[in-house]
Amino acid sequence: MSESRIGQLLEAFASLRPRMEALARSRAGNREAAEDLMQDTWIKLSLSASGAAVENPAGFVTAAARNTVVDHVRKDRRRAEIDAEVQSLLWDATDDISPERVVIGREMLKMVESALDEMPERSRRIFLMNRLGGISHRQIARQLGISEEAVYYHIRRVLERLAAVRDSFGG
Amino acid sequence: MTDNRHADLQGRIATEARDWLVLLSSGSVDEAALERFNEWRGRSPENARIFAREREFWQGLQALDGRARAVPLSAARISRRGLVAAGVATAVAGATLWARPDLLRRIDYRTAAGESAEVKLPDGSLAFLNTDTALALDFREGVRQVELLRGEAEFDVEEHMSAPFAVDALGGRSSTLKASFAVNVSDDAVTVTSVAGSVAVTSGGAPMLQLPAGLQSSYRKGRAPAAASIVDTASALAWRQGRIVFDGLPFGQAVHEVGRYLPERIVRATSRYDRNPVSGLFSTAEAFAALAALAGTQGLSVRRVPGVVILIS
Repeated sequence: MSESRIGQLLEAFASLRPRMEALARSRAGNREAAEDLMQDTWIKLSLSASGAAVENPAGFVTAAARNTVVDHVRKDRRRAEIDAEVQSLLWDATDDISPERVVIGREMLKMVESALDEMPERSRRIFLMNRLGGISHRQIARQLGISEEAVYYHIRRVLERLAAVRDSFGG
Repeated sequence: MTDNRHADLQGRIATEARDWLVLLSSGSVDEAALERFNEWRGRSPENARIFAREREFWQGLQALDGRARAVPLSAARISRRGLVAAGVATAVAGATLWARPDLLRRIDYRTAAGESAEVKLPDGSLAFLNTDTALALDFREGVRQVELLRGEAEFDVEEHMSAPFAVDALGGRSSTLKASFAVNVSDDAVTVTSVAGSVAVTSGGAPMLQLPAGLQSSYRKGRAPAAASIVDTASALAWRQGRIVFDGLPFGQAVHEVGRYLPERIVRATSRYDRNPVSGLFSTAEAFAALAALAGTQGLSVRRVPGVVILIS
């Protein structure tokens, strides 16, 4: 009877929650994530609630929570690895510490600046927010109330224009 | 004809390379996109070469830094009530400060790690806050006083005959009628740099030390200021242009300096290279890349758990 099964699980979940959440917090590193993980755990449990009554509800609930946390930590770690790889793809200065290598010449900078000035205000602003402010497309989109695709488009458009200026400069 | 076709192909690859650069900088690259990129870049030496060239241009656009000021910075003003909540999020960065509720309650302006801000003070003077900095203000009739609780700031002081302008830190005071000067407070020492005009420094009951433009002094809590020394103000204040400049600084100190711009705690596996001198010019906006480059000069590698810790080993 699904009634009794979900009742069983809810009861076990409610009584185990403080301990599971503390565990989740120590593994996930913060309170918000731990709360989310408890939510996820409960959603999973409630989706599984159509089966027969379980013999050991406490063990069942604990296992579900553990799986959710382990999965989260694994994804989090993978996320950090991806971020690190992306950062190194973008910024690793090969073996050369000297940043002069990546500084644009003064004359070209002037041309690039004036080209930037001629861009529509919105495109320019979005470009600077991302390139110099290091603000993600998602955050910019949220802040300006536009789509992430639109943010990409504005930045892409500015970069294309600046690259054209560089190319005409003979770079 | 062949040349034209070659140029067309190169142009197309360059366009694709820029597509990738913008995508990689979006802040939400997933595993599949990263795989597609690596596949694209590995497809031909030409792709890799042109990507490297376009990336250099993208990196070089950092020189537009001055433009950043045209973009509104995140507001530095934090209400005293809001501060408690903000404190939870930045607890890692401000460990020592947040452990001092007496100071915490008094903060009027604050920047987080990696942030900077420009603040107009009640008398019209300007304060430029560097990363991870906190100020408390006391402005009344005849009083123009700032306390630097943490971090580093430059003050551009307007002349007011009614009162000198003073910056207090670790029990010492730097005061002036009109000057531009920077004050930096670390756990146990304060450094004062005079950029324009003259600044008087007092600490530990010692006689006042006058610092004309281009000179620097420092003091420890309760001690007299050290004799003034000549300083390259452009390097000392490079952070105002979003840069960090090292000229033969010991590696250990350089890591500490760059670490100020990052929210993570930096853990180092070895102190063997701490005394090795390093030089370089970095962008404060790319502090993590700077750290990786610095570590690279000592044959060390850097791993980061965003928001938590950076391990140099």
